[in-house]
Amino acid sequence: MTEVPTKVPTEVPTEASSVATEAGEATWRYAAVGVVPTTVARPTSVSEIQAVVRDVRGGGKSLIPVGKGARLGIGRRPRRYDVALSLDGVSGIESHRAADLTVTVRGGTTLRALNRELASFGQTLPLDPAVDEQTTIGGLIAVDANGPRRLRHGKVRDWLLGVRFVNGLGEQVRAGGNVVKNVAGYDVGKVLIGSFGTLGVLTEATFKVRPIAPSTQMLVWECSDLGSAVEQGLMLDRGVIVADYLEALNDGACEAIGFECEGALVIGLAGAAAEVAAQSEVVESAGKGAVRRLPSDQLAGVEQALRNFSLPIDEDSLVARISVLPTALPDLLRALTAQALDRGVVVDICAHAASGVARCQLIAPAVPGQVALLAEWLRVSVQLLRGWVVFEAIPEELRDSLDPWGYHRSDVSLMRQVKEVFDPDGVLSPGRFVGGI
Amino acid sequence: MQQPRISSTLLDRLAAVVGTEGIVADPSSTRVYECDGFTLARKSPDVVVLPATVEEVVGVVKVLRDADVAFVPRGAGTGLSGGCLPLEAPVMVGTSRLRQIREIDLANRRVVVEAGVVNLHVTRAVMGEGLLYAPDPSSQSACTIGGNVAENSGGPHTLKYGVTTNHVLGVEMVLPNGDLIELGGGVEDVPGYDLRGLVVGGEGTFGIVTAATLRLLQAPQSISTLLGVFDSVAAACHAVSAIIAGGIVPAALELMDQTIVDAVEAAYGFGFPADAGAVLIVELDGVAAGVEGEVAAVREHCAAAGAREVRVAVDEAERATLWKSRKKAFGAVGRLAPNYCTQDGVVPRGKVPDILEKISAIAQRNQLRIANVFHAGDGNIHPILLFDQRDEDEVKRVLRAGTEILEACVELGGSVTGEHGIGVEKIDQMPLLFSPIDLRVMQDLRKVFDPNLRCNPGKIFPQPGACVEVTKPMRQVPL
Repeated sequence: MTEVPTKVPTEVPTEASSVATEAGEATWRYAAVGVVPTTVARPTSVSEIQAVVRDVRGGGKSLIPVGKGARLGIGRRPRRYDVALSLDGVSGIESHRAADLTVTVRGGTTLRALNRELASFGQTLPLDPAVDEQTTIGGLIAVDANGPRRLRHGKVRDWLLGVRFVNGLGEQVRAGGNVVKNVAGYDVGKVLIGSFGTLGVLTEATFKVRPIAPSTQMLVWECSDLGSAVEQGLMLDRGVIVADYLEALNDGACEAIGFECEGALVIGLAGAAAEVAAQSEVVESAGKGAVRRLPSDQLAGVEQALRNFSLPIDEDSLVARISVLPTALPDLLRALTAQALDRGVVVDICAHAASGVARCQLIAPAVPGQVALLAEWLRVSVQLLRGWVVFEAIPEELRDSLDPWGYHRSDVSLMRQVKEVFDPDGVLSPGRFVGGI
Repeated sequence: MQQPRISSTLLDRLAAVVGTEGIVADPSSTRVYECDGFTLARKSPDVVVLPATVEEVVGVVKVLRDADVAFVPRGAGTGLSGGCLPLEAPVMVGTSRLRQIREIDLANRRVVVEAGVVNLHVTRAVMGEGLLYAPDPSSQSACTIGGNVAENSGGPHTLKYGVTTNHVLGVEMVLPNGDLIELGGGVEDVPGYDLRGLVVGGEGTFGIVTAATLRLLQAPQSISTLLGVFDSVAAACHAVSAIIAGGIVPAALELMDQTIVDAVEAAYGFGFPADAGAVLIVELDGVAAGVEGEVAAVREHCAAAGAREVRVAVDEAERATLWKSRKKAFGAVGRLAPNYCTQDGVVPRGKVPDILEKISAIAQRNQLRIANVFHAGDGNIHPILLFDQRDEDEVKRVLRAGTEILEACVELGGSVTGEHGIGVEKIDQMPLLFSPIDLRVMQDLRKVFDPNLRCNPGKIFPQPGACVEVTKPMRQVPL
């Protein structure tokens, strides 16, 4: 176990020409919303990353920092995209201080690799986004990728203690620190979360971690439809149980996961064996005969399916992630279901019931244009509820008419100025973000 | 540093917005506002403006904008780093009259409260419904949400539940140009840069926060509070490490050394053993079936670390008394010396014994008495430096020892502040943690909100020629 140096390391200038690059065929894998870069740069150190950023900036070009590329399809079409800056070469755990329950990890490390290492110490970073094997730490932060366990354990912002990144000027910047409580200086790391590669190339992050729960149990509560599944979830969350997750599924989502019902609430419990057993009984008695315990050998598979639900099924499907007040969710999802039926659009929905968040897959029908109308209906409905919708996957023919970031907002001018602070020349992922930032 | 008194025209314009009842300009009255809980630095504002509505805040800020006058926002003045000291700003804008709880949404576990609402009043408003607001700084019966947002306040229960930033969904604020804006919102996922996350902990340098949307938690089904009595601080630290390593995340894990225990005992007569070397308070909460097991495990860990006695609070009254003894510990310190100064360093949890050893050496070297009461579970130490401010040499030694402690925290891989903020107190230590580039990025972010640096100038960032006069303190204000 090595200690992290507390002093900022002195910079050793590196020439961009010494950084490994690829061109041609290899770049297709790094396409972002249909834009293919001309080069893939593969730096192996922070100073090489700095060199690439400076070189790209000097040439008046732009780059997108890329982990495994699993979420390059989210956001607007980049205004310009010359270089894919791969973080594959900057990976590994810098230092895991097991007794302190903190870990410092390099940007290109996958969440799965990190959690595998932590597991050997009985610890975990309890963030559970889709495809953890394809989610690097840099990507996790840049995309603010969260999953079902957010109910009990919160989001990326609740675990991130400090970051190091390279800004659009090629400078190394540090924010936060390595300790679990720290209010020295502004919490700049928060701004990097969900910034989609527009502010910096994330080279290193420090997280809190927690002990792995000794015992887990998944319960499936069969419901008449999605709306009632969400309502049961809200009921359970009002002090009845403390669940790790409460996932409400509609008929299509049930089918995709292999449940034979029209709607289901999937309840994840974790903790000491006695706690899990006591809570399981509470749920079973609340659900009468409609609740069954999932055999433990199926747990991992179903959890993975729940996490991965937000991935588009194919290139014609539209994925919407909506966030409203939890109590507004059941009616909104009922209305969406009715609208989809009217328009002949197939919609699969999986909701983080008690968080007010739902992931919806809209699958193209035979009649063209219906998906677009439904997306527009959803956008307006969510705005009326003072919530947000992000279209995380958009079929190519709707690209130009649908803003992936939902609707216009008043604080975009402040955001634009924040972008200027980190990347005044628009080197980093220009155009992808909210308001075309 | 002298600055011109503000003009009577400006005073009239401010009074036109807030009425004469919202203006404090008499020097004997402004004196009340000369410092916060960091009493080593003092300076009275020329005028204190106390708007009663958000519209009045907007009006006041616009008057100040048009006159190009700097101002400092202030909540209840319980801060501990001089964050609301009117250092280079003649006008103080207090938010204590913004007292409305605008909305209580029990079903969605959210409240919208104005900046002047007292922290404890949030929990009081919803506790009948089995809900609570988690951040609980020791000053929670006085400090306000606006100040909590500015300082990203913590408290004992943040070990399990997180600090203010983990519970603020949205903020409403008035920018220094007079614009009223909302950042974040009522829902969980808001796309775009998380500017709310930047404003929380911004120490009042981005503008005046007028209201916040707070997340409420379901009160735990079961709470158990244990008191462990140890012969030495080192033994108590062993117990802390064993609890953490054993996979338990207590709701709180607080340590008090002998000096503090004696003072608390003298003040409140809780019944601590007179010769205890250290006392550990461990609170466990959650589902009843889980808490039972954890209580047993914590008992074992304490016993294995050599605890002389482990007592479990038998009822809510005993639990309340125990917490009172912890939260009032700072008040009890008044019995030990005429004055005291509290530090707020953080070290990695495993390094707590090391920093305590260093603090003890620093105390000896500077011929000072230093007492310790702190959040052992997250490595956030609160050494209390005792002194008599009539003794100028002792004051100098206190300031030197404070700096040495913070430097030691940084050397051990920690930070100079866990929950009190940089304010004016720890400006000089910022370069220990951040490079000139890091600091420039932060200051450029500040300029996005406050391009002319008129809101709470002179804080957080080291500036040439703007040092605080802290060598001649005047009097102690009770916390």
